[in-house]
Amino acid sequence: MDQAIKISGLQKSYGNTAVLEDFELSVPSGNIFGLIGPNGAGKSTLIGILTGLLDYDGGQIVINGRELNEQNEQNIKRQIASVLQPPLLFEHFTSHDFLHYICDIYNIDMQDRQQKMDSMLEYLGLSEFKHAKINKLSAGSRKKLSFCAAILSQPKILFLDEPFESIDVISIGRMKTILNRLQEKGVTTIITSHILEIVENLCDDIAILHNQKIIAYLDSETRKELQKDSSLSEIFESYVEVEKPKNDVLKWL
Amino acid sequence: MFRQSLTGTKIAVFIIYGLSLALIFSQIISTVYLIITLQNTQLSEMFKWYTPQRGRFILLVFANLLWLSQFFFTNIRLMKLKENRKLLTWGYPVRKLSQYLTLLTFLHPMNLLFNLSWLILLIFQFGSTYYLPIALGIMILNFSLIFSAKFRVLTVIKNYQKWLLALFLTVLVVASAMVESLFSSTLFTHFESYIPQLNKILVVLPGGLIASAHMVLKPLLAQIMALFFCGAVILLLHRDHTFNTQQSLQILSSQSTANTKTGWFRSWLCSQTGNHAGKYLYYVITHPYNKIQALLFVVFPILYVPYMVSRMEELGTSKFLVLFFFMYAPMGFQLMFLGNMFGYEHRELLKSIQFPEGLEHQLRERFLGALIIPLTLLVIISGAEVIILMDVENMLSIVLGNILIFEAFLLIFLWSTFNQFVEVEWVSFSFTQPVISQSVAVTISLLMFLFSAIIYIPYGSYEEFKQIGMLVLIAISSFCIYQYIDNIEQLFTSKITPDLWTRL
Repeated sequence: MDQAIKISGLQKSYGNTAVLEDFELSVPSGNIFGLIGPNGAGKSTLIGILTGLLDYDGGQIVINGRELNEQNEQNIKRQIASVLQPPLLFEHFTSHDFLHYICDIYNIDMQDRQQKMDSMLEYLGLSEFKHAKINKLSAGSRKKLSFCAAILSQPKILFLDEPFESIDVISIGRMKTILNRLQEKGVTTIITSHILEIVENLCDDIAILHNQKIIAYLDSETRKELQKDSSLSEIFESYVEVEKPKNDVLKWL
Repeated sequence: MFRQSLTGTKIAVFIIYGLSLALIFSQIISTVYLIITLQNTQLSEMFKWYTPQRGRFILLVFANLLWLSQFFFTNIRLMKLKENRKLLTWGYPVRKLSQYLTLLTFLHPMNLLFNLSWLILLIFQFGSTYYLPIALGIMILNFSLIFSAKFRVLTVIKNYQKWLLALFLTVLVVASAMVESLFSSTLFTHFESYIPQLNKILVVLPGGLIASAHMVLKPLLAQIMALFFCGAVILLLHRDHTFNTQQSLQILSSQSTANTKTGWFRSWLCSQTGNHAGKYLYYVITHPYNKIQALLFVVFPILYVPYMVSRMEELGTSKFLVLFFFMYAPMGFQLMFLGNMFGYEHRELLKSIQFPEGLEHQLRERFLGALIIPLTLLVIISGAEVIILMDVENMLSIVLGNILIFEAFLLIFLWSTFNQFVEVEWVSFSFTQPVISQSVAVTISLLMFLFSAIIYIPYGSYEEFKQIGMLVLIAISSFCIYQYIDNIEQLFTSKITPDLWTRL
């Protein structure tokens, strides 16, 4: 199977603190891939590096067959889109203007962009906020708008950092439908989330990131085996080996 | 901890800022001293032109100008409501917090400077430190009134911006049309006879009232009554400020579907200057604070230049002031557009970095976009100076001077944009962060005046040397600007991106 992303020997540190050390990961094309890990494991840093926001100290990253370097950077950026946490939006634009701007940047055809924009806004329940300033929107609406913008840029790889936080159940269902549609078209999605039930239901392969590296890679076959007896949450806890607190530690409470 | 967080350049800015404030303060105090000492009978006899009426007129004009300056410069943007609001979630009492924040405003260096000036003027007027309590009472009352009035004036400006702008421009056009006839009218030819009437008006204006307080407040009973009155009003005003701060601290924004109709302007700017420059210009132009700033940059030249140009002969060696005021607009707009280039979009810039367009291209486009208005003004003003001043002899010096001053400040603003980068708050007159840090703004104002004095004064037979010197400096500045633009991506990724990422 083709690899959408192949990372080998990746190094990243902030000052003297190593965040990723000899990091290795491969994500198959067309996969909805879950990346889970405790807080501070380096998930957001990894997404930051893969989306071109952060430099890295060493190693090699190959995205859709091209190495991520200065020469290929623009080409790769054209193929990827992201929803970060908190979402990156143009606060003083209206929702409509923001999506237009994104379409301009990604050269989306003028003729069908309006129809695409309207249908996305309608599907995710944002139509009434079309001409409202983004800084007046709620956290959930902002996240959904960021998702709309990412989809409209027609990416081949989609990075979603905590995409379902602050979002209502109906919209989560619709976002999942969109992601499944994209998967049918061959789009690879990388999701980081702490809501393991959603990751469990939505993702094909899942990797657990802990102590600067991937400590477990669960492809769909392995997951089927493991999840016969336990939930993803239990599997996660067994891998991460979090020290269990003593029973009386909160006795003051 | 605060001292450890300061870099070398920040310390330098602090020192220059401190020196600028000290200079302003010493200027005010020496003027106060001079005006009050002139009232001394023996001294006044030395000057034939001095009469008690004229002396009083000078004092009242000065006091009212000081009050007006205090009104403009009183800083009420210190409260950092967004940051302090977090304290409320930890159970910090809102009333106590708003009281602290209100008191904190009093301690801003600029506010202290004006308050101390009043205190010294009042002590001089009373003639003894015995009157310190009453002088303090008047000083605090004045500050509280200004604070309260300014808060309301700014709120009104915020709510009725368009109407006020229209009214202001109308008044401005009428005033500039009348400026020449006004100065040649009988008011100025028979000025002497108007002084007593003018004094009667000036004395009831705020500055005049403070400067004349000693006349009625020397008896002990009057002082006790005035102190009681001041105390009561200060208390009421303090309660009002605290209440306003308390309300602002507790405001929670809710989702809104209200339509915004400035999209056409954004798309027009983007189509004319490119997506990145267009977005940046849209943010700067639509920022509520900048609308007022822009207005001020226009007011000065429009009011002063026509009058000064009509009196070039009388100005003599002070001719350079005309050139200084001419350059006020491009410099002001440079400060507005280039002084803090990345603070407007701040975290949003991370989204732009993800776009499939080179960062260097984006940054250069923003920079060139930011330069459009100041550069256009420089060209227009240089042309206008050549036409209006008709000073063929010094034409080359004037044009070179304009270019040099423009480039020198461009360098300062480029330095400030990378090293004094602050996140711009978007609430109009938000009481939190100004668009440009005040230390930079005050330093720039001072430097601008000094630069103008050095550059525009004709050097007689040494003029050619001055021109060569300016040419050399222009070449050096151009090279430095080129270096900045050439390294713009590296400067951005090393100084701005880490800050944006850590705030994600």
